[in-house]
Amino acid sequence: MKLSDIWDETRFAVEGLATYASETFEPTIRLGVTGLSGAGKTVFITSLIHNLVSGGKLPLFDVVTEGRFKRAYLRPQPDDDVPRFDYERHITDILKRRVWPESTRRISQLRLTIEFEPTGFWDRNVRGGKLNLDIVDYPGEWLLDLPLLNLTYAEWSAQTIEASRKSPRSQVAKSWHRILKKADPAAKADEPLARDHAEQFTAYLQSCRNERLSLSALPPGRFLMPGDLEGSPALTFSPLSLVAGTIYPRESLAGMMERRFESYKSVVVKPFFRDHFARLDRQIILVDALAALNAGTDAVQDLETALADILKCFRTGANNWLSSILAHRVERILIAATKADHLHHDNHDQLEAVAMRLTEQAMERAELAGAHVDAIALSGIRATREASVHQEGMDLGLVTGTPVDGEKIGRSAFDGKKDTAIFPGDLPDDPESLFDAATPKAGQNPVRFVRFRPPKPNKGPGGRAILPHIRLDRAINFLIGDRLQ
Amino acid sequence: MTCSTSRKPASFDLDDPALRVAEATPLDLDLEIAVEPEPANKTRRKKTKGNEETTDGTNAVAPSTSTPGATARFTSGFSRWGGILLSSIGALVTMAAGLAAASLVENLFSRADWLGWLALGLASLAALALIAIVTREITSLARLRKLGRIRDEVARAERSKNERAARDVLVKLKALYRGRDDCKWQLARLADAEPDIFDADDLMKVAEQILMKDLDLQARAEIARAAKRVSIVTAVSPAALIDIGFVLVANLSLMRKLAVLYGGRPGTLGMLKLARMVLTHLTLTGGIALGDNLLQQVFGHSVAAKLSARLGEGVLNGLFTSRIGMAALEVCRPMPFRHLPAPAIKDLMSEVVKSG
Repeated sequence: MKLSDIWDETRFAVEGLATYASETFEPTIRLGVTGLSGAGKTVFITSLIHNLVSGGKLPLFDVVTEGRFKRAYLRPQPDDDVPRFDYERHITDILKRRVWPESTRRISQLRLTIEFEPTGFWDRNVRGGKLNLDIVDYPGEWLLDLPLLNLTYAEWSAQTIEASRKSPRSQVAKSWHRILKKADPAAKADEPLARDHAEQFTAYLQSCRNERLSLSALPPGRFLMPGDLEGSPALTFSPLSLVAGTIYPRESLAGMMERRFESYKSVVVKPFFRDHFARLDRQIILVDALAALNAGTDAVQDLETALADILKCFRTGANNWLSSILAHRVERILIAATKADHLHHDNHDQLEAVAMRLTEQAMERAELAGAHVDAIALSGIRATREASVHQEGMDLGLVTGTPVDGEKIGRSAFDGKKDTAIFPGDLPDDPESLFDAATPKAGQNPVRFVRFRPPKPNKGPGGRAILPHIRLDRAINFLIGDRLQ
Repeated sequence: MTCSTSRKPASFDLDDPALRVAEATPLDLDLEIAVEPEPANKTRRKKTKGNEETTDGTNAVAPSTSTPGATARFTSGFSRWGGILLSSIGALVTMAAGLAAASLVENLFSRADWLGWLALGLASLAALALIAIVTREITSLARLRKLGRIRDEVARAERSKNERAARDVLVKLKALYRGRDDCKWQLARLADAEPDIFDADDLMKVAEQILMKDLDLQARAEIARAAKRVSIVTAVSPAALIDIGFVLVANLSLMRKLAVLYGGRPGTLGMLKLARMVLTHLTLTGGIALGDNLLQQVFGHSVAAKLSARLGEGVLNGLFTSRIGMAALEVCRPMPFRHLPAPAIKDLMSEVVKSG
């Protein structure tokens, strides 16, 4: 062994010890923020950081109300191989340009340090009241890949093709079905052909995703959220209609697709779960229930399926590849229905009930024993104010704000400049009716939610901009409040 | 909502005269802005009419669990016999204390007449002063506003998750402390936080954390101070009568201070409970002080033994006083202990010992 090797080993060992020591005195908590595309992850994280760092109003965050909160600031993150969450750009977008930040396309991370006055004697004198909060932002689509680990290529193909033949998916699957019909799985493998298949399949998944259908359960997750793997062979495969029981040779199209499917599982899916997911302590799952409600019952049911698949990842039962690599279990899971500011607060309870209903069966099945689970309706940034109008003998609870350019409601269209008051409709008291295809008549949605631009920033004490929010403080308190005692 | 089918999504122009925009969040800590936006409240009331049945339904269930009368009472044989025991001991103690005073005066008379007269005069003066002080404390306590059912309303609003009820009870709570200099800052903070909170239980939580925290601390200090005084006086006082008189005055003034601190006196039930506790305390104090001679017989006459017996007596009396203080705190506090820890005897006693 060379001297330099011994030196390296020693250095690593010392560094390890140093990390251990600093962990004792500066505890770290990893908070996973996830949700399907468009759920509001980036906005949630940006608002959370802004409100903590620049002294926003967080009355339900106990450490603030008890007067024990000192300050919070950003620190260099510990993992050099993960991109940093671009907080500065997102906050400029929101405050200066009044546009919503770009959405999450890959995993990113940020470390926030909170200094506070601990309550206990030991903590006050020895540990000194510091908590590092590592916020890990990753697309919820990636969690949908976990069920793939238990499927063979043939099983997965059969399932995916069958799902695409059902309405409403069949409407957008036509062009992919055409190429699928022509293909011969036993033919010799051909790279351009494989790419054609993958492109058509991806296009099909993307049109399921768009606003009109708003479907959610669309694995494999990297086809919609490729991260930095775009165009790599591990993403160049698609389902084929295979004949059951036939064994396809290695160099056939089916053989190549199968190989790529397997490597997708081993080089893409497993490392993510092992390196990032397994290290989380707390998790918030953001759900955009309103977009699904806009699109109708099919989208709501599909969202439920997707959330059930996501929640399965948090199950720590036996017979699960995941449970073998999990360092510890996630202690707290918060399911948050976002964009609560699109509704008058009279309807927030109903929105919360929808979030509960979306996840309750999944939660029961997932046996989330030991973890605290809660559901709330929140809004990372509150883009609207409330108002009311008296009309036809009733008072309507309205929200006012600047609707995004191109949004429509009834016959009125918005230009993104003028403030308008919106009555989005009432959510039913019984969330069940939203899941039942029989209740809403086609094309006559009881609710219509309009997207708003970020609010005009308010100046708080000290001239710093304040980002209003709804129940962000309650979410933070649930997720990390117990570690700030 | 029953009318949901007829309520279609719609948009309104902001210039529409029928439109009422909710107050913008007040950013400067000015009390005046904090006044409830009344029109917004009224509309909310009307609008939720469809909901009324459901919320009322929960309300109808709630009081049965919250009113003190409905809570299960353990009427075992003990309480009746215990009552007889306590009241007979009380009577005995009063008689013994009277006897002690009478025999002191008699003793002095037998030595010299003028000593006897002086003692008699002093004793009557002391009795008169005691009666005057007690009357004053009781009348000033009675003059305070009754807290009424505000505690029940807080608990009910929190349990039923009825946001409107929570805002209503919050107005009453704030009225208790309006105009008080020591609460100004807390009221401003509460007014600042209030518009950003949307749920009944969260409103109550923040109100308790902001309004009650300092009051709780002051109340605790007040109780500890009274307990300490009672401890010291009963440890050094020469006669049982002085013990009893001092304990009575100290406890009454503690109750009055707590009631003033929290903004009102407890209701009739709470007062009865407190009165019973004070009577028990007096009985035991008197009993111990009179039993002191007996203890001396048992432990011998050495100074150390006498001193430790005295100290023990003082500590015990302090303990009783702090127990009464805590009971008084509980009935005077307009909110139940939910999000802040209720003070425990343990903390109080350590405070007493520390400062004593």
